[in-house]
Amino acid sequence: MNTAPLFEIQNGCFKYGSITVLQDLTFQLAPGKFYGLIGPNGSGKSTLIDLLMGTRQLYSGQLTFQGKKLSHYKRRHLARHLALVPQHIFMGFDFSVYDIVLMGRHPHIPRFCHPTHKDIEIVDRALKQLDIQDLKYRPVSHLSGGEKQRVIVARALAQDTAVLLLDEATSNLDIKHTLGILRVLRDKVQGGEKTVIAAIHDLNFAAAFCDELLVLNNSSLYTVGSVRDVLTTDLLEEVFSVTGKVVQAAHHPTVQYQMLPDRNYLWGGDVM
Amino acid sequence: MSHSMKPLSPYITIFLFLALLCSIIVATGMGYLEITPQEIIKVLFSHLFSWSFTGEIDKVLPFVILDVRLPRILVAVLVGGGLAVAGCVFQAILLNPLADPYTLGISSGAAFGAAIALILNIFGITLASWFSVPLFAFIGAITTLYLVFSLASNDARLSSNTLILSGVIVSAILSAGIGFIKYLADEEVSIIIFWLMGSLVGTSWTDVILVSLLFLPSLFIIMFYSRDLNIMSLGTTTSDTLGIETEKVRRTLLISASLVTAACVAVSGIIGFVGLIIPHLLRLVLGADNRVLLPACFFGGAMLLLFADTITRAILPSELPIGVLTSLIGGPFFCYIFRQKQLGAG
Repeated sequence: MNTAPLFEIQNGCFKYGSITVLQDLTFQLAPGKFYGLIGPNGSGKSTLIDLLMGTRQLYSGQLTFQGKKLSHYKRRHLARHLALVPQHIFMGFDFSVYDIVLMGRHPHIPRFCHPTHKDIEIVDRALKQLDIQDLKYRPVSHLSGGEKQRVIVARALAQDTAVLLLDEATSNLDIKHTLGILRVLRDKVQGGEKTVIAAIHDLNFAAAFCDELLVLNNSSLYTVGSVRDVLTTDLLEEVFSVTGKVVQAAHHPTVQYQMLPDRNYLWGGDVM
Repeated sequence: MSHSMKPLSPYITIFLFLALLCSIIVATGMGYLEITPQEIIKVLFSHLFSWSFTGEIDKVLPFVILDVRLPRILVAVLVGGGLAVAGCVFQAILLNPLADPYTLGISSGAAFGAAIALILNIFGITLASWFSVPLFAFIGAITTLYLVFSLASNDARLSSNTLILSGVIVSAILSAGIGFIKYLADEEVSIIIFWLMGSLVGTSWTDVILVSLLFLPSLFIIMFYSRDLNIMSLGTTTSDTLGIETEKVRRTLLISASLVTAACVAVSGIIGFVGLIIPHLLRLVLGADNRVLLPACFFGGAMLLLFADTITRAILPSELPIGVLTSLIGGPFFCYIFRQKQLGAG
């Protein structure tokens, strides 16, 4: 049963009006892995995540989730399998942290019913994993940007889905909490609990935590493969237009960028 | 934790319900003829359950209570509650604390309909005005709602900005129409103006039934989706991914709240303030959870309008437009709460 790929997309194309945002997308994603989605600004990462979440529909081509067309799923059903940490956090009214995280249980709680002990346990665990249990009853308007982001990640964890998609979920976070969240996700992937698909800007985080990388460039899929295969000096130049080198460290590669215009800084003047 | 928000007890709803019940009984007793609460309860029970009580009940009391005061009081309760609930729904859906039941132009539509009925009356085309004004107002409101929706419909997601803008455009056109009718009415323009400021004078059991028929199904629908409404305040993307058919729910709730508003406007004219301030005020006090807030808004709105109507009916020497009174009572109170909240938060 689990031989079917988690997601399969064939000749996917997406347009905003007449502007083509993504085209010629063909790839498969397997369950149980940590996928990193990388690419420069405007390469279509967020759009691809929306497509995989089913909140946007392909213009042409086919997208299946667990062997069935994604658009054939009911939203409520999908919400028990897919969770999203969106890039832009919007909180229109002043709920408490606990209320917001409990909303992650919405697809599991029948209408007019109260959350069960299990629901509350899951919410408490998510609060703990994101290190926000002290903020439990704080109204969200009193939180900092990074704290809000952790609340939203906690909500997505509380949703208790097999697949978690993150759209630059760590962009507002300090290093401690970025590493904290990525470690929690890594553990869940390694424990076989989750598949994670995360759009990440920082290539070093992507290299350290992901199994495979999908690279988007110029509205199409540049390449997909294991971190070691994908992350190369050529990729940095061709896709990201920066100069740098990829150092193969013990567990994972790391990228060292040329930060300053000084040509002698890192490479002894033989670059460019 | 200075800014803690503990989960609320459900007792607040029960408390507000009892407070409303007491207000209804007290208000029924007030007026030209003072009636004690005991007498009111006796009359009600003997009427509803055919109980007989020892001691005489004045023969005029059942008439005053059941035929004169109670319909008007119940209309005040339903209209006040309805406007506050509708306002709460509009604020939650449009994600705008400044939204009120009239944001989508329903008041202008209703006023336009009512103005047409009134001007026809003035010109001698009588359509039994006690009936035609509410009917025309209701038709006007519903037509406006339809226009606003079709104007906004090329935005498939029915976003808040598109809806508000469509409402503003339709309202502007209708306001010009109302202005023209006022001009035609010439010296008898005061009838239209008085209607526009809202009044509960002369409401009957027909009005109570009309409002209840539209109100009860809509209220059920609104409560049915109250948890979805909470989640929709986090934006369309989030509510979609949490399993809510956001567009469908949004459309259903907007239509339900608009029907409630249209019914309220049809029987009472345009009563401002209740639908804007009551939800806002209660949200400051009770928090944003619509499952608690919506019932509280009903009771709060009902009590405010009942209070205002009782003042104009029983205390003031002559009847004032109720819309003016609600703002005069509610405004300063809101300023006080708003200030307290600011000081508390600062």
